[in-house]
Amino acid sequence: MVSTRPHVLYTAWGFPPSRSSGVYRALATVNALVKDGFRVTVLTGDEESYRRYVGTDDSLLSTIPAQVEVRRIPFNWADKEPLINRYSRTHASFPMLWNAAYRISSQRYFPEHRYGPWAVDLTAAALSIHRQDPVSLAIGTANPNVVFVPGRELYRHYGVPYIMDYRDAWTLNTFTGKPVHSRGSRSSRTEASLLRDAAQAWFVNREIRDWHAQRYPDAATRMSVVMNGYDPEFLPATDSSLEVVPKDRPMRYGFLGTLSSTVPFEELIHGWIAAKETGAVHPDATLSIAGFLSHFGTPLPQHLTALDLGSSHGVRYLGPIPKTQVADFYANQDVLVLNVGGGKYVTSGKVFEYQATGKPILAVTKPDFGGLNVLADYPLAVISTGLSAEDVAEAFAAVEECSSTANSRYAQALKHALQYSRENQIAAGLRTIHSILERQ
Amino acid sequence: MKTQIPAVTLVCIGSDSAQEAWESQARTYVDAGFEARILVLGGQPALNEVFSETRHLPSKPAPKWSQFNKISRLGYQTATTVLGCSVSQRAWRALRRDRELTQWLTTSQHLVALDQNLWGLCWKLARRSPQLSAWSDPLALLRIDQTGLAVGA
Repeated sequence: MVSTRPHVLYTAWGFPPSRSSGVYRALATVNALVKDGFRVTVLTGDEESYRRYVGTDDSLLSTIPAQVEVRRIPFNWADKEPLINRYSRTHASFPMLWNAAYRISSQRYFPEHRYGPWAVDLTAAALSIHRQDPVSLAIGTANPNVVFVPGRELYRHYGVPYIMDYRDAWTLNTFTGKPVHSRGSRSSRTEASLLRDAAQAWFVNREIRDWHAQRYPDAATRMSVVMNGYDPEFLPATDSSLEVVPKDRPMRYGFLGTLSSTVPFEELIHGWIAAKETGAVHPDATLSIAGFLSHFGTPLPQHLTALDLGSSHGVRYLGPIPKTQVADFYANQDVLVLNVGGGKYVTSGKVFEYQATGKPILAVTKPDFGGLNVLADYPLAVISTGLSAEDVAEAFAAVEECSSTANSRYAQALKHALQYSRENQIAAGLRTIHSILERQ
Repeated sequence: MKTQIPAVTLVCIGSDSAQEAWESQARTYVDAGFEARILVLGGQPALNEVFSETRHLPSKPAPKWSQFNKISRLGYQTATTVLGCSVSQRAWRALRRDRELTQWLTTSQHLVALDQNLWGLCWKLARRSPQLSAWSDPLALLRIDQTGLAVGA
């Protein structure tokens, strides 16, 4: 007998055990839906694909609620296939020609390079699931944007409402603020069509939401903000009576994140060295760097050079850290360094996670970084005024000063961060879902 | 007697313009806990200085391209050979023609091509030697190693 509880079909390309950054929003949303009484089916990629193409964090598998049914749809990322044995002779012998042909053929069903072909299998799976157990609401969390397809198809065939959850943006480059596709392009026309029929579109911050509202005014009233947040289950237990910054030893600074090409990491290292040389930080202070050295493949040479440069100045690289061990990393640091790229549309998830530790935060980023709005009211935040070595060194001096009074403001910092728990952020989304279902 | 190298051997062929890429690749493997051995063919001596600071086995002195065949006679066997030839079309063509060297390459379990010009060669070698896995992405080997599927002597 089919349950009367609403059935949500949730489509995400990145879901455990994938280690990609979008996994946590998907996981948290699914968890929130289950806690709220929904039955949830997740449509996602197969584990083998994650191992081949992006890497995995198997510790995340245990965080999927047992009640959730996970349907894994094989995903073939043909131009990222690493095993040459599997190539055709044409692919191996004439890669440029093969790539040109693949670029065209992969967008036949959906205008998204590489991901387009997945639309076919996603559609078949969504329709099959609906026939077996009618879906009340579909949610797709992008990117990739092909995850919006199951919702669209269920709407077309059965009138099922769908929500487009944008973790990133499709036609906007969030780092440059410029459109990626022209208004008349197939991508923009597809996005417009999807937004026209969507019950809701969620964005991670006000700036991205407003950009889309301006570009697609007909859908503006159905666009809202569901911010990212921190996931308390992955963070250290907090005790506001603790001393967050010990006074009897040199400070331990820590950065946790992915060193993508947009991160001003060289500037951080040059500033750190300048801070050491000017005495802004103790000669024995350390800066621990943890995380991946790029989103997918090879570490960037400039980051490796910077790590080498810093290695004789107390900088050490710890490598990637499983999400379930992130709490230990934070517990071992006195000050957290937020080193992220700029852009008013960018809000790093680390902004929330760092605040939840209650520890002093030093932001070394560009002045237009959107996450600074979220950080501005945090009582233990110091923001570098620029990215020159002198600016960053001064910021280190300032955060040392800030840390000297951190223990008395620790409880205040923790209280401030509470608003950014994932649960509190997703609550707005859940209210929207109930409202949509009530209208059905 | 042949020497079994239970680690990654990076075969660097061509000009020094590939140095950053090589350094990056070698560091990736070393950071992942591998021992990386560098055989520099026709490359620059400076590369040896770069790698001598990392935790890999000592590299051989850089032979000239004309000494290429000697490598195959050194008697080394490697579990994983990472192969790159940078921008040198000449080196790539010569490599394909060198039967002794290509035979040596098929003794590896894993062959990693950093340059897409080498895919065709690796594909042919893999067809010829079914035990050989040829890879276009060096990190894929590490990712898959995490699952215990492959890699090692």
